[in-house]
Amino acid sequence: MPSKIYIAQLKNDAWNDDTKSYLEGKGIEIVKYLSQLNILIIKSEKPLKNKRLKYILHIEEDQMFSKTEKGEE
Amino acid sequence: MASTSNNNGRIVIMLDKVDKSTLTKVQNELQVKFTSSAELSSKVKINDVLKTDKGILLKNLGILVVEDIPIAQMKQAASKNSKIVHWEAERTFTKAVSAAAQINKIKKKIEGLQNDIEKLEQLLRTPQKPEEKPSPKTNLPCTWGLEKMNISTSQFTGKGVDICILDTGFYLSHPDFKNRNIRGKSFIPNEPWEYDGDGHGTHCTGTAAGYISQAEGLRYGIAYESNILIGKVLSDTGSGNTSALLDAIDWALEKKVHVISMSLTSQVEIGEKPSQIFEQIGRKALEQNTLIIAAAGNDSNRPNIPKPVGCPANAESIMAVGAVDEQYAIARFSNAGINAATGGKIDLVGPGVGIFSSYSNNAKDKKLYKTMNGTSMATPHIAGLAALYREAFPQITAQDLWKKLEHDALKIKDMLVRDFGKGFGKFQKN
Repeated sequence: MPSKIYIAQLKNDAWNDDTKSYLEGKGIEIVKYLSQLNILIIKSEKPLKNKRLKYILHIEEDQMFSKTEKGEE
Repeated sequence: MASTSNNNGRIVIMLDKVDKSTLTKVQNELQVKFTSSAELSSKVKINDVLKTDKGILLKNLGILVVEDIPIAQMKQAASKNSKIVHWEAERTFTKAVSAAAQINKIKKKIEGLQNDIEKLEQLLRTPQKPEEKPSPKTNLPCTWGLEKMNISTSQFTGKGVDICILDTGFYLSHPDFKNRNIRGKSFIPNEPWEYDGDGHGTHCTGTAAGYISQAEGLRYGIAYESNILIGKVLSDTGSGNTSALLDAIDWALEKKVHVISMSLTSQVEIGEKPSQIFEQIGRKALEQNTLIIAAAGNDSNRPNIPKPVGCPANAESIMAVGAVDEQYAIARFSNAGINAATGGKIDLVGPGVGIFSSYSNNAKDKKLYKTMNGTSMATPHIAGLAALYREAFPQITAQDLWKKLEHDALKIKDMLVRDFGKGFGKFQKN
């Protein structure tokens, strides 16, 4: 099963080795921790949307964005 | 007051009674002559009396002060004279000025600090007068958007303000941007930020932070002395994803930019709730004094089919910008605040139809300038405007900058809040 990218909102001060080990133990790959936002970009083969995980407040799926140009009027 | 025992030879004696027999007895024991304090006056002081009589009786207090009595003699007299209740060596008192003065000094310091805090709080609460600047450098012909926004006559240039454009990148070789402070980073693999194979990012950057078309002499850019930070989050085909966008926002916050402009969207359905992630990001940015501005999206087909504000502009903590044309009419495509119950409103509108700006020679249609439409075009107008206000009010917080933009917006006659929010972004200080 191909892995999908998710965005995880961490609980306050939750970014530490325990969190890493816990998530990795659940088969979740940590792509990047965004320190200014306290957000984790993660990869998982299992669906994670709305899944309850320790240290995590909220999870959303990665989504696509496009430029907001409208062409000729 | 503070006191210390003194060795000046004087002794203070407390008597049981102040009658004649007591005084006679004590006088004999100590072999001194007393003078009554009743004989003291403004001219005759205790010290004067003690120099001659060696003893003075403070009758009302039942106290005797004697001088030149050896301690051994005093002890002996006290031990066998029951009329002496207590005795002790005279103390020297000094005014407790050091402690009191220190306390007063600290109190004054605290008062001073409190005043300073109040002044700072006042400074943050009330908008300051903008710094006086010399007359405008130019009064050049401008695009319709800059004219309507009062930019053409503004003395402010965005100097010292950091604007971040998260888009398709920027055509760094553009001749209008020579000698500008431009930094960047690509969050799209194998696509450099300074190339811009789409042109959209160069167009948005031109509106927010460019200046004048060297070819046509037309001013199209607002904050032309601002510092530009480019984050490439959309590929050269004009699309990207959340992870790259968040990575870029995190980078921009680390760089402590003042304004982030995002002319991008992901369509949402009617009744769909805003992203909790973007709501948190907008709040974090405001806390760090960065205002994030995003395009409302172009999914509508008015007048019959208005569509809701897209993501991430629908997050309450991110400013959502709709588009109007030159007559202040809402653009046919501009999304609306129709998800009122779940969230997602328009905050401001800006020029978004027939917008001339810089473009990329690396785009398919290889041009240095192009006229485009979209809430994409309205958004950098508001970002550039925010930069001018940030320059005019250097101490303003991002939250207050937001309020200021809304407060000074032009209220269009009969405008619907769902379409226009607080109105058309306009610079009101010169």
